[in-house]
Amino acid sequence: MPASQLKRLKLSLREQGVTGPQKSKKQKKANAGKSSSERIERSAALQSIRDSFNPFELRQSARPTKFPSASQRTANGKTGRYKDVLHRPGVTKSAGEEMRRAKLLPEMQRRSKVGGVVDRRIGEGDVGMTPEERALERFTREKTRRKTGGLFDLGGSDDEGGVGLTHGGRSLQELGGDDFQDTVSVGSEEDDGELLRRKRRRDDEDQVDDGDGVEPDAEQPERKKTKHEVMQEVMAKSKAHKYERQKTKEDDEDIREELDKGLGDVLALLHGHKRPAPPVRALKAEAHGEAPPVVNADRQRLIDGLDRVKADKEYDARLRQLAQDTRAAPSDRAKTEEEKLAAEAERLQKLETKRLARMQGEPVSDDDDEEILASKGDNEMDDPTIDGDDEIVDEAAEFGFTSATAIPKIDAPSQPLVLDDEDEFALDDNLIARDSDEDVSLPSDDEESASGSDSEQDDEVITPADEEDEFVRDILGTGPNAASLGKPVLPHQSNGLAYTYPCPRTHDELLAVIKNIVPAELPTIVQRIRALHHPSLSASNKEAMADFSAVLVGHVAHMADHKQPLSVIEQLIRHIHSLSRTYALEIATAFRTHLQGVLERTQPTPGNLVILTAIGSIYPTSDHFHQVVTPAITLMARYLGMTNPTVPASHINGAFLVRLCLSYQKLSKRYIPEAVRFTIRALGTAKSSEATIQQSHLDNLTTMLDLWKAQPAFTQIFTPFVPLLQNSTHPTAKSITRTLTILLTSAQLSLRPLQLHNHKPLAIRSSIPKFEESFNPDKHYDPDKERSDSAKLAKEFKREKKGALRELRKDANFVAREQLREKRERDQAYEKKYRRLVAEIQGEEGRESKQYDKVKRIRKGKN
Amino acid sequence: MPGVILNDDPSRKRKRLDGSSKLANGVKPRKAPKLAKSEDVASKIVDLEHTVRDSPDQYKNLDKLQGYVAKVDEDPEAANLAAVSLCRACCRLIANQNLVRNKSDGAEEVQVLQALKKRNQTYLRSMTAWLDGMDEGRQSTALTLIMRLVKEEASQEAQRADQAWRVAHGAFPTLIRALILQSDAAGAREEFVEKYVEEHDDVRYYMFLAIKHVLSDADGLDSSSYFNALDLLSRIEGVPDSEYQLEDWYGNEPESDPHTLKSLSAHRRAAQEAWLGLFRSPITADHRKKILQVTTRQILPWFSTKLEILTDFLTDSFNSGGSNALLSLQGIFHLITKNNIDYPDFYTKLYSLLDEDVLHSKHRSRFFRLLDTFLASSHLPAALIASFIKRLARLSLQAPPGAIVWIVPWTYNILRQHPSCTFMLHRTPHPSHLMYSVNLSYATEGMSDPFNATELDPMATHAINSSLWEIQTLTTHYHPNVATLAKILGEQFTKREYGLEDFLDYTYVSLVEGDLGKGLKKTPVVEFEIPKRIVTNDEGGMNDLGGLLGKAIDMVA
Repeated sequence: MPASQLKRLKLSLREQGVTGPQKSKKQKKANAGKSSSERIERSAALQSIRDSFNPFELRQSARPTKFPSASQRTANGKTGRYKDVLHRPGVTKSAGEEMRRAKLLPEMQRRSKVGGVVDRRIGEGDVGMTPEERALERFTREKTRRKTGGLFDLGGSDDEGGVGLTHGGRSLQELGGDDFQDTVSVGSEEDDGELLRRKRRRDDEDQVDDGDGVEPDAEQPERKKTKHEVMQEVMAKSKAHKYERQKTKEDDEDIREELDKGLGDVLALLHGHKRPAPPVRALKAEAHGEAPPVVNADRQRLIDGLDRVKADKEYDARLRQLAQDTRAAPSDRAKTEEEKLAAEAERLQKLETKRLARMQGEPVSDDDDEEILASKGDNEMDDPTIDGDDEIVDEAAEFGFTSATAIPKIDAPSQPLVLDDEDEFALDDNLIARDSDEDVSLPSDDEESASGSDSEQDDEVITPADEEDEFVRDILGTGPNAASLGKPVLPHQSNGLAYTYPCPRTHDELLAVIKNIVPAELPTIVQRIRALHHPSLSASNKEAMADFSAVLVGHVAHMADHKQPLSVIEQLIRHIHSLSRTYALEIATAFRTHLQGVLERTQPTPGNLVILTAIGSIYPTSDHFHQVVTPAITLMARYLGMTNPTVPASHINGAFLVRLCLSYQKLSKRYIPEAVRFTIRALGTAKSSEATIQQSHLDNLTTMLDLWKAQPAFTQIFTPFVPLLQNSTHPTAKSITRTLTILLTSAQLSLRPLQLHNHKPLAIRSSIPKFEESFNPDKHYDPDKERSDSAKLAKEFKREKKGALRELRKDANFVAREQLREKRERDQAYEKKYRRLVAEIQGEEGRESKQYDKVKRIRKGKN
Repeated sequence: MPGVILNDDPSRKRKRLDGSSKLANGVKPRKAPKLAKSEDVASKIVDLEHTVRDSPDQYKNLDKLQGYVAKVDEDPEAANLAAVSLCRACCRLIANQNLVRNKSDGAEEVQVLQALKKRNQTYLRSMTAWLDGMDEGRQSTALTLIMRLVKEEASQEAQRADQAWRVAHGAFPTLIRALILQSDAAGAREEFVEKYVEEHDDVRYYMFLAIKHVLSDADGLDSSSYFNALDLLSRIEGVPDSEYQLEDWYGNEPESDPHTLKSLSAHRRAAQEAWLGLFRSPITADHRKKILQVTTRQILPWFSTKLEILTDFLTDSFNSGGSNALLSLQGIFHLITKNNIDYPDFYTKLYSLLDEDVLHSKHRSRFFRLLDTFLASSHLPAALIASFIKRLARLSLQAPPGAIVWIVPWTYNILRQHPSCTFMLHRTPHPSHLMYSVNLSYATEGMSDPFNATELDPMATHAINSSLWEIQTLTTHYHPNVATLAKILGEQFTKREYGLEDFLDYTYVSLVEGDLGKGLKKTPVVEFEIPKRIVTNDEGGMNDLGGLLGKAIDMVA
């Protein structure tokens, strides 16, 4: 028979060292130091003893671990610790019960009950909180709320004296916040009742604002100042001093502002309209003279009781105005000569880097362009209205000018035109208003030379007869004042040129315009048309000029076809170039249309040749791809590749095209196989032909040698020329041969085998088997992430569902149990009541019967 | 309306007549004023035919009909009608064996027979004459009528039918002869091949025999007739490759089982004879080109033996150079790969074809396609491949972009296939490379390209020791697309292969149209600086460019 429970308990307690023989005071003292660790040990020991004595408190897991392992984690993902392995069904059950009792039961009891006040005070209804804790929590909450302050709390401790809330001369802060003070009005504090609270506060503030002036302390009878009051006074004094200092500072600022106002007047004078007279108040203030604390005018107005809203509006408007003001920019005039040169160099450098990027075929952002344009736009925005306009309009009307150009409004502000300043062909002010002394601020030569760009600027300095002057002279004839445009001018002057022309929008119109005119005068006419129909003069001019630009492209080809002088054509090409800064798209389209025409024929016409030349000068030929240049050079190469030089015409054409496409590649030094092929064939067959032709081919060869001397295949390209040159009898052939030999030798010296593939060698594609470091057979190693994720989710869902079901079931059990309990209680109460009533009645009846008996007896007795 | 009348007669429902009636219908509106007369003539012709059919004594009415036929230029409608009537009459004669001499025939009957035969011949001659002319309809009518006769002749008993196919004055050989000799019979030839030769195996067989016969005696043959024969032969598309395919007959189906007509080798022999007859004839360059173009598809399938003769022909053609050389190489390659012909100099010859003109010729894409085929084998020696690569790279220094656009991806493909050639792109300094071991002091003396461009043997050019500097130069080609393409050889070879067909058909026109067709999406960049002078110089004269431009303008205008 095993020992009794009590005996076993005593034994195990002794074994664990929880109980032992009585210890003396000394021993206790000695042990006191290590008490904490000992206590833990003791509690653990007690726990184990408790567990061992009630085997039903613990439950082993349903399935024991399959494989014993020494690893930290077992197969089901639990650590092998005692706590994880053992379940305590009793504990969990009681915890669950507790929880339900706390949450579910109140709910149950509240069910089917309507209305009522919800107690939302902190900690109210929380079973786990003692009243002290509750109070503490409420207090801290209130304190933190005070500390953070409101949204618009300006929070300077200095300024508190002005607007701080007081009660009985003491600030509210000092009074300290008890939460019940706040909660008085509502009776309960909302857990998150920010809104309510804020509202209340505002109410408070209003009250205080109202009452601030009404209940001054001055009403009270005088009494001796307390120490506290004295201190207050001292502080007030120091504050007054501080205020004084601020005042003087503000005065200084006011004076500065006064000066600024004066500047405004000056500006207004410049702008030509008068500012309204300064407010009288300011004058008065000045007249006063004696008031040292001069207040800012605005502030003064504010103080004077200006409407707050109005003031705010005014402030906003001013702010906006301020933001829109253009920053003061140093004028170009202030720049020294060196600075200008440096800026110019920098600009060129920028353009060059962009060109290089295009040559490499890298995408180039147009940001810089836009920037430049934008800055220009700004410059032009500042321009006042054009004053010379009306004269032009008059003139045009006098001549019965009925082209597409609309009459511009006289006082229309100048449009912010995107116009290139450096464009030397832009309007000449001479043409517009020579006789007027008014300052014409069109983007004219001042600006041009100031923001001017290219090397021509230097020319301007050196040679007075630069192009612009040239054009001006052409237009104005004899002298600057000879042809004043204010007067009506006859359509045909002595030199046969009119000053106004309609803007031709088709080639036929242009031909009609220049019908009776010597070709040499054409640039002048173009110049005048450009001036008269400048887009800044009328909105519709822009379109007309775009058409005119396209027409000019066609006309250049037309001129060449009709053998008109090249120098004139050159001038026109330069016009087209300057126009294509504004009408790039239209002119490029015209060129491309022309190229389409070239594509359809085998022999180039003079017009084609001129167009190709124009393309070479107008567009950057070094670009990797250019919408106009690339087709053009391909077309040239086609001619060179397809043509066998047999007749002198093909020799000359070919030589020219070779020269032209080499000049296209002057910067980018790209290789043109057809040029080489053509020159080889031409030199092979040119023996019989005249020396000049051969000379041009040899010149081409020299250019090619120079252009491609860095090519890796230099030897391979130019070796075929050697026998041709040796056979040649041309005088210059010998020197070229010498150059070629030297270059070939140097090419040989620098020749090295190609090493193009210095890449990192490509790794062989490999599929290493995927190895799991800590493989777990229970885990799913699905390579398909999506699938594994969904499986994980499904599993989780299932688990949660099961858990929820279980909880619901337990809840239902709990509810049923509670209902049963309630019913029982009700029944019990009923039973009790019933019994009581029955007993009562019985008692009564007993009494009554007794009485009856008594009466009966008495009656009997009587009888 | 003659056609209608003929069709009304139920006893003579002949398909062929539909054609002629249609013809008559087509002609009729033009003849509207002469309607009464033409109806008159038509009825007369029908009467004549009836008399011939009904009584053997009235054979001389055939002459009258022939008279109508002869007057084709004056009254084509009547002539058509007469020709059809005559055809019917002749067919009836042949079917009744009236043209065959019996042993029992007397002298008078023989005379009648001779006369009939003569009339038949006259008719045939007139019909063959119709074949030659501009009038397509008449050609078609004549061809149909003659083939009708041929059908009738071939439908006799076997011995005589065979005789009829072959004998020189028979309808079929006469037709073939006419088709060859008459220069304007292209339409008839086409129709003949399309309708009869391709459909019927016996027609094809006898045609081969007839052509060989015609070509064997050179009298009266000029170059155009050889061309006609070539035209006939080259039009034949369907070459049988097994005896089961021999099953469509125009005449009677040959009864006896081992019959020549049913033997494929007999067919082939006949075809070979015909082709060889053509080869032996004096061939002009055009003919040769045409023959070479059809070699692989229409000649080689017929030839199972006598390949050496064909090889000789192809070799001769190669030696004549130009595009013929290229075309003949295709035939030779076919012979080498399919017929096991030993032709050791093939690649040398191919290599010799790579000259500067080939990249500019109009056969460029064809040449490229063949070149890719010829060099497709991975078993070719690397030295040979390297020579081809280097040669093409060298040529591309003067080539149009269309050629370069093909050469670069081809080089890529072939370098992938022959990795030992990739040293041409990447050669690190190492003594095992000939370029470094030969030029030991290359740092001071430099190197020269070891490739020998004038060497004819592709195995001995040392191209494998060279590098492709040319391709490197092409990366700076003026056309951006070409330059970008050329850069692929300098990048890592990650792509397996380029589809060469996509690169074949680039020309200047397609390149320019590609550039121009894109449209202007972005504003084109404009040169920022306006030059002061473009074609003139400061002294007011013309500069270099301007001078040339002026001269060019003067020359053109």
